[in-house]
Amino acid sequence: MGRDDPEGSIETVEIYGEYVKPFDLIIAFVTTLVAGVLFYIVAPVLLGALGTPAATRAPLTITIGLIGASIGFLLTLLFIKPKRVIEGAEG
Amino acid sequence: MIGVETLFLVAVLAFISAIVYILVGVLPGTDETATMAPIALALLIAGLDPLIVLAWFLASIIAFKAADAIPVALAGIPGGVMAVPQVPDAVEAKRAGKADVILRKGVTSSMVASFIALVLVLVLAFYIKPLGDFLNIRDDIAGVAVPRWFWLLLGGLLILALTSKNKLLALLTIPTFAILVQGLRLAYEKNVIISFFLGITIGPLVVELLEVLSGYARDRIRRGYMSVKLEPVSVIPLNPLKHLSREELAHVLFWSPITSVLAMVMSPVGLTILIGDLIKGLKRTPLEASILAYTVRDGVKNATYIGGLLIPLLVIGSPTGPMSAGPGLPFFTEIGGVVPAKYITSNYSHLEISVALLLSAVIASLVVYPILIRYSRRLTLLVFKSVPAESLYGLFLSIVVLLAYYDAGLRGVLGVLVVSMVSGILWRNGVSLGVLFMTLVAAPTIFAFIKLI
Repeated sequence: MGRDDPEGSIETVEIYGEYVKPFDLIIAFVTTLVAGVLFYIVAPVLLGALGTPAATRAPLTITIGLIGASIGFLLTLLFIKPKRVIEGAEG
Repeated sequence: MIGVETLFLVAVLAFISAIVYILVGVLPGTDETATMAPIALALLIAGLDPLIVLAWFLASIIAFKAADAIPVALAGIPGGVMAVPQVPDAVEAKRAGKADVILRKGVTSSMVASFIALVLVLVLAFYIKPLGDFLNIRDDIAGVAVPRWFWLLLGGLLILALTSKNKLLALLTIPTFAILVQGLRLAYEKNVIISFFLGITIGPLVVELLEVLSGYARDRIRRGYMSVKLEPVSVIPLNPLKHLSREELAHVLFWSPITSVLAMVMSPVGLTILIGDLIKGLKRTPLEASILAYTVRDGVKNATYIGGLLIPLLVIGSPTGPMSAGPGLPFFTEIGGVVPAKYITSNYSHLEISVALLLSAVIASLVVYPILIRYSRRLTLLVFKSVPAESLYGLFLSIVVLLAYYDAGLRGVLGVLVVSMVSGILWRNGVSLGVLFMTLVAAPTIFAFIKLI
């Protein structure tokens, strides 16, 4: 219970010592995965258009896919809030 | 021959790695293997020179293993699995208002131990290199070609199983998990390793998630947000010579080389617990004992990770312990027809490898030490306030799914799921994940022996 959730109404689950809202976790996973897969699918087309040799296209595809997942992660920071209340933040 | 370009890339990547892994280290619930191995793997798959990736990895060890103790010191929350043994000592110190004392001692101990371990390992590896040739000879035992390093691996595996919480289950896991892995490989008609490795890595997380999503974790349901109490920290001087007492420095100088060598076959977490508990008895009061144990453990963490990876990599070229078969496994896995560990030792001289790694360690320390000493509280606050656990777990899982798909298509993704469920359940029942990582490496030989019976 804390400032952001004064009534303690939000139901969370403790995973690895962190409070997690299962719905937010599913949204985060789907967002990062979709972003990663999109980049992974587009990568070969993009690399082909740029004239990248076929031998380096495969490893670069996964790298671009992972960059996509990282962008998805940054996006989730905008709409998912941490479930922590910090005491002594001003100290 | 190592060029200026390579050294420049080493310096740049060590800098980036140190920044990234300070943030990852401060975040609670970040498992070392899950956060370090997939990124190293991605860099290797992308075709980056394995020596540069090794330098990146070393910088990430130095940053992560120093930063994961910051939330322990300030809030009693471990930033990684390796920081868990430090929690009781940190709680004792915090109760006495010594949060900033353990913070500065811990960070300094981490830096000192990193350099001691790195220099020792580089010198030792140079002199015991002939031992590597001996260990790589394959003996014919009842028709099975067994590399001699396998016995080192098996010895370490048995030690780890016998020191697991559930010894019987851990021992039974060795042959049965080997059969599972080899059976899946037969079904795949492919020598898959990356997907299985990633499956073990995320096993605990997957099992926790499946339990939560299927309503089997009623005891872990909470109301509201998690309350985190951050301890105040006074301004800490940057001079590292002022932070450790002579006794603490002597312990760090004594234990970090020993544990870095032992980690070749033994568990880094096990060694961190063992050494801390051992030296606690030397102090009279619980507070003194906790501060000493916390400080030395912070150094042992770095030393075991560095020795546990570099000795097998530079001397043998095959993983022999929980560190090299765990977070360090990407360096021993064939990627694009090349085994990174073998590429490094056959394309670069020992001096060149040493220069690259020392450069990485210097850059990482210059980034990590001042940031953690001066800004650890602000950093912890920033990370705790802006990075939700959901986003981080979502990212881990997505990276694993993408890498598994890249490794073996849909079969790879299903392989991750199978192995992660088995690994997570075994872990929940007291089997160290190190047992599973090492069994994965030893599986072909163990299976060959089982077939003989």
